[in-house]
Amino acid sequence: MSEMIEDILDECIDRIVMHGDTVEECLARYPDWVEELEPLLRAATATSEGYRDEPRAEFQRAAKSRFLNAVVAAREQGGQRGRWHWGWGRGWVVTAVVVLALLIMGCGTVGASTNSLPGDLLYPVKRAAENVQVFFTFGNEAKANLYVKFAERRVQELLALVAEQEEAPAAVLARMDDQTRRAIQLASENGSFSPEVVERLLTLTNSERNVLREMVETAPARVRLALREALVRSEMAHRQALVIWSKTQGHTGAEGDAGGGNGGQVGGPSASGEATPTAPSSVNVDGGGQDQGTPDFGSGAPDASPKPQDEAPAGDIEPGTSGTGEAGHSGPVASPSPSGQQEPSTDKPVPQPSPASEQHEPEKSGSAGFMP
Amino acid sequence: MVYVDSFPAVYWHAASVGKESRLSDEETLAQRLRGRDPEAWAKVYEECFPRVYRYVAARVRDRADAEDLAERVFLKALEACPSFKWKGAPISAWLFQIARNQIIDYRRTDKSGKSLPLDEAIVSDDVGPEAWAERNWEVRRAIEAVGHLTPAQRDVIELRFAGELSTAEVAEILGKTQGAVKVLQHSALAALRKKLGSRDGDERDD
Repeated sequence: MSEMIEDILDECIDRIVMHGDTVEECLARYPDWVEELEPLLRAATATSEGYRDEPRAEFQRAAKSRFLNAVVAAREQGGQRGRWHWGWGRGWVVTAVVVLALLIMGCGTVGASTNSLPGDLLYPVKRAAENVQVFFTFGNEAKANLYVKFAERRVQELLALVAEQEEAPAAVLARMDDQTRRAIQLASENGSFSPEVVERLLTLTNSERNVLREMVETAPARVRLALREALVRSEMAHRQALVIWSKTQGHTGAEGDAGGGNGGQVGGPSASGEATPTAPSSVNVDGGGQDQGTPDFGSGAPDASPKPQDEAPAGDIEPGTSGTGEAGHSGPVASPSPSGQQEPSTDKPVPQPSPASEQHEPEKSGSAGFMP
Repeated sequence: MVYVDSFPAVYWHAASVGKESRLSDEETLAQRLRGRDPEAWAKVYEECFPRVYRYVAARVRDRADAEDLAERVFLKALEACPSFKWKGAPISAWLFQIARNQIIDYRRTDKSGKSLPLDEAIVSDDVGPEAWAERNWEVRRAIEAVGHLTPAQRDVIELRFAGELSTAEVAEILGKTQGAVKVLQHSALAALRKKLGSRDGDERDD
């Protein structure tokens, strides 16, 4: 009996919401169910009425134009990639060319690419040169140091783009995040890194945080959310760096000016001050939530296998699940807030997952319906 | 629920939806989207953008953020499309899944905690204050009451009414059976009816 009312109700809602039928028309189809059906359908129509908000016409036009331009650009880019492909990624082709260039011409071109910015002709050379350098660098500490150095370059690039009032390409944010996380992973797996490397890492994460904060403040709405997400990632990376730094200092609670005293500070207001740990906090930087839910420009896998959020919402934001989702990230090992570790003070609180009503869905796990 | 890559999946899904799909021949469409065919994307955009926006706006009370999020849903889909493998689910379900995750991310990262008053949030530009005042009082209370539903009920109601999705599509997005979605829909509407009814009583008491 109750199964039937659910089916009938569903059909009526289809008719009302999707085909514009009236409540009366639906009731006429099911005269035996009028008493039970009518109040439910009245509630349904009232609710449906409330969701008739439309996007502003001018916004819709502009957004559509932007989107279709993006489609055309993506298609052209895809076509170029197809021509260059040969079964390898284009990145490898550029890398191979850089290796050859190094062998044949020396380091002139590569050196000239160092100051290039995203969008410049030599920027792919710069990126490829970094890949080559990482490939030919041996030893975890040396590799971590290199990742830190390259991530510092990303920060510089962001600052340069801000200075030129250009928007930060998502690829730069993703690469900075990737290089930082790789450095963090190497550092957290190897407790014997020199304090200089760890301090440089801490300074880096602090700089990233600062520059992203600045960018979030001034960014146009269109890119604000991407920057916010990058900021959350950087906040988390900074906490992890702080944990690693605390261990190298041999104290359980981070003390003093963690980020201070480093010559390589890369912009950002009051970096050293902000890195100073203050009060212990149980703040969960939602490591798991971040990896599960934050859109990842690199992975391009927005589909998800939904989990019934009403059944186990809390489990979805466990920090223990961090590092499992994002492509290109090796996965941070350090827990954001182990006992005894302290959080850095921040001007702005780290965004927290909304309370009970919030739903935390896995972002990356495969869905039966659409798999990347 | 069994999904296969083979062509009959189209018919399987169409049968399960029990109605004509909004986007004809989804498999062909998915292929064109993967190839970044501007015409195919324009079709999907026109078909889905207003519904995606309404769904996002139901959850994100700030208009600029709702517009931003809705726009990003499509950009994200475009970015992900080369690796998109169509396995029988409608394209719209894929888009709304992205939208849903975007909303979750938004709510996770939004520092301001700002939310517009209900009136401002659900009044569109073309509905002036006077028209709004005339709008059915029950509508306002119904939307307000949706906020008191359980997360699962609210999910179903918003996807169904704001996103105008079929039960099959909602089931796909939420990873539930269609039966479970219908049960949730029924219980949600019963709760809304009760809420509206009790408020009527409260007001009469006043």
